Formats: sequence, C-alpha cells, structure tokens
Amino acid sequence: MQRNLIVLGFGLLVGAAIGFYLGWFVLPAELVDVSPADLETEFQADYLRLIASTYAADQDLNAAAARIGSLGRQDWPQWLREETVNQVIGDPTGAETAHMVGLARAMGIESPAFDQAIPPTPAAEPEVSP
Amino acid sequence: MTQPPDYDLRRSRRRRERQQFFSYSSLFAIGLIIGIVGSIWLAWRVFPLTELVGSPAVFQQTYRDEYLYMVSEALAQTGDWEAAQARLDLLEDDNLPQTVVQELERYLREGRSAEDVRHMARLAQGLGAEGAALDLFAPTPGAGSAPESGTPTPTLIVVVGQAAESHQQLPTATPTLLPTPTPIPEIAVEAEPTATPLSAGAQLPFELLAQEEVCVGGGSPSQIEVFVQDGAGEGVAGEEILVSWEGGTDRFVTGLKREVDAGYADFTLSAGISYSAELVAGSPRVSGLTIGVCEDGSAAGWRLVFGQN
Repeated sequence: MQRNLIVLGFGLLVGAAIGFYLGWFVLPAELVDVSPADLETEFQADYLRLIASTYAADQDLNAAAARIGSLGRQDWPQWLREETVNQVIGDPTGAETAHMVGLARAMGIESPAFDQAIPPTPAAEPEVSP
Repeated sequence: MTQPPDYDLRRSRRRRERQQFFSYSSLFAIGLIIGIVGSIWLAWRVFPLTELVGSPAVFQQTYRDEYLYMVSEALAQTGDWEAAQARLDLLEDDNLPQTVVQELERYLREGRSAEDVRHMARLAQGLGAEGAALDLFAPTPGAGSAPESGTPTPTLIVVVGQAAESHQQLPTATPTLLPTPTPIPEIAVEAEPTATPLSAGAQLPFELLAQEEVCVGGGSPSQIEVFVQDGAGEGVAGEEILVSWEGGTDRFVTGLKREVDAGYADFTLSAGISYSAELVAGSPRVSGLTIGVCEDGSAAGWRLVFGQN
C-alpha cells in the first residue's frame, strides 16, 4: 500500500514538473479577444469617458447604454456616479467632464457635484477700439 | 508428464510480479496525468508568469473597431490630441496609421455618416497616415498634421484706426451643451461577455421576429437573408447589419435589392464558419448561423426578420 502511494506521488511530481514547464514556457497563458467587461479597472474608467464623449457626439442613448452594458458592471449606476464625481473634482472645466455629467444625467443619475461642473466657456471677445 | 513441484509456484510468482508492475504503471500514469492537468491549470490561472492585463490591446476585432470609433468621436468633441494618442497607444498596433485608414475606407464602403467619416479621417491624418480616401476627407492642410481642435482658432483682424493687425486668437473652448434627458434605456450587464448578446435585454430599436432555416436549391449559395421591417411591417432600407465570425466582421445594408424588398439584404455564408448577425442600430444578436443541410441534401441558409419596436 505504501509503495502504491509512493508510485502515485512520484507520478504526480513528474506530471507537475511537465505541466508547469508547459504552462509557463511552452504554452503560456495570454488574454486574447477580450471584451470591455474584461478590461482592468483603470481602462474601464477611461472606456467610460470615451462612451460619454461619443454620446455627446451622437446623442445615441441606446448605444451608450449598450456600451455601458458591455462593461459588465452590475453596479454601473453607482460606478457612473462615482466616476463622474471624480471627474468633476479632478477637472471641473474639462470637456470630458461635461460629457460625463451629460451622460450621467441622461441615465437619470444625479449628484450635487454635477452642478460644480463648469462647461468650458469661450474666451471674452476682444475689445475693439474705434 | 508431471511438472516439477516448484513450477506452479514460479508461474504464480511471475504472474503476481507482472500484475504488480501493471498496477504500478497505472498508478504512475494516473499521477502523471493529474499532475500535468493540475499544474497547467495552476500555471495558467493561479501563478501565471506574466500578469494578464485586460487592455484594449487584446480586444476582439469588433471592440477594436468600436474603440477606434469612440476615440475619433472623443477627439472630435474635445480636440485633445494627446489623450487620443494615449488611447490609441493602448491598442499596441504597430501599423496604426494603416489600420485607421482601413477603418476609414470601411466606413466609406459601408456608407457611414459623413461626420463619422470626417472624424475618422481626422484621426488618420493626425497619425500621419496617407491614402486616397484620406486625401478626400481629411481636413485641409494648413493647420499642420495635428488634428483640428474642437475649438477653431480663427485669425482675427482687428482694425485700429488705419492700421490693421493680425492676431492669432487664443484657442477657446466651446461650451458643451448638456444633453436633454430622455427615457433611460435599460442596461443589461453581460454576465458572460462572449456568450451573451452585447445588449441583451436592453430596450433595443429592433427585435427579432423570426429566424428560420431556408433551403436553397439549384446550387445557389447559402445566405443569411435579413428582412428589416418598421412597426407597420414595411421594409426599412438603409439599415446596417453587422455580421461577425471568429477572426472577422463585415457589414451589409438593406435596400440594395429592392426587387426582393426594401428592407432586404443578404450575406453569403462560407462553409465551416459560424456567424453572428445583428443590426447596427440595435437588435438581439443571432449566433450560430452556419450552413445547414436540408432533407433533400441541398444546402440551407438562414432567414432573419427584424421588426422595429
């Protein structure tokens, strides 16, 4: 019985050595063909800003909703609010901030912080002396 | 003839040894297989040598196209070329200018809106790409190779008395109007990104009314036949259909075969490939579309009918 276990264990060890060699050096794991749901958190946040800017351009709320859905986040309303608030705090006058606020509001999400987003204003007209 | 008394004993011992040998071999093989499978799983899932980072560089082709589109739109909206460049770098495409030009040409072939084409051309131009399509649609040179900003920088002539001065007005940002709230579409979160429709469950503009296998005779190629109807059942022309398969996508549009129906379009299937089809405007994605075989042995295609919600 003990000899059986030794043989089995020896097989396991040899198999593990072969398996690790294959898994690490011959056929290493790599990500391919991912969707937005598989993006790292920071990339998802940037993808959200892209969605917002695209929505600002095409005003297609269904497409924006589908894109947010493709991120696979169950907590998307809370996440969208947080990301938008962070964007407002970080860059209250930025164009992307206005886009994020626009998208969030279009999705029915509100926050007092959104009112602090200042849409970029055109520079004052130069005074022309006669 | 009688056997020596220890003959049976020796035979019996050899048989036992042989059985034990096979027993050990089996145990070793079992251990080996478990060890290989288990350690490969550990090497890939638990202890990968290189960190597996989900980034736009490993997007499916459909999402790469989508990403390029969104970057071009964001650039058009913000004029922030540095941000666009940083986002494009994430694609890790060594031949990015050519990729963007190909995307632009695809837009032209598919009849995308002039705005989409112009924005993509601007992106391609900013990357220093060249091509006939780009020459037609990129912003006119003069502002350099950088993309035109979302905020124009006109030359302002200020007349003071008889003197005229030319000033380059500082770039100014255009106020961005916040969109008017509209009914909020339901968002369906993808639980299994590769298996679930992109926007399953969302309030999509079109729904799938019918899906049936269609037998084609006379050596005709198997096709995906798409009919797009409005709420009254009338064919809708100009609707784009996105068809995708492993390693590729294509688009086709309804209305080019009005002799069949204004809302009709077709796409020829290739053997051994499984296709998915959906309306670009938004519809459920229909997957697993392959060439079938009819009862009479002829090839079969698919007929999909989409109706406007």
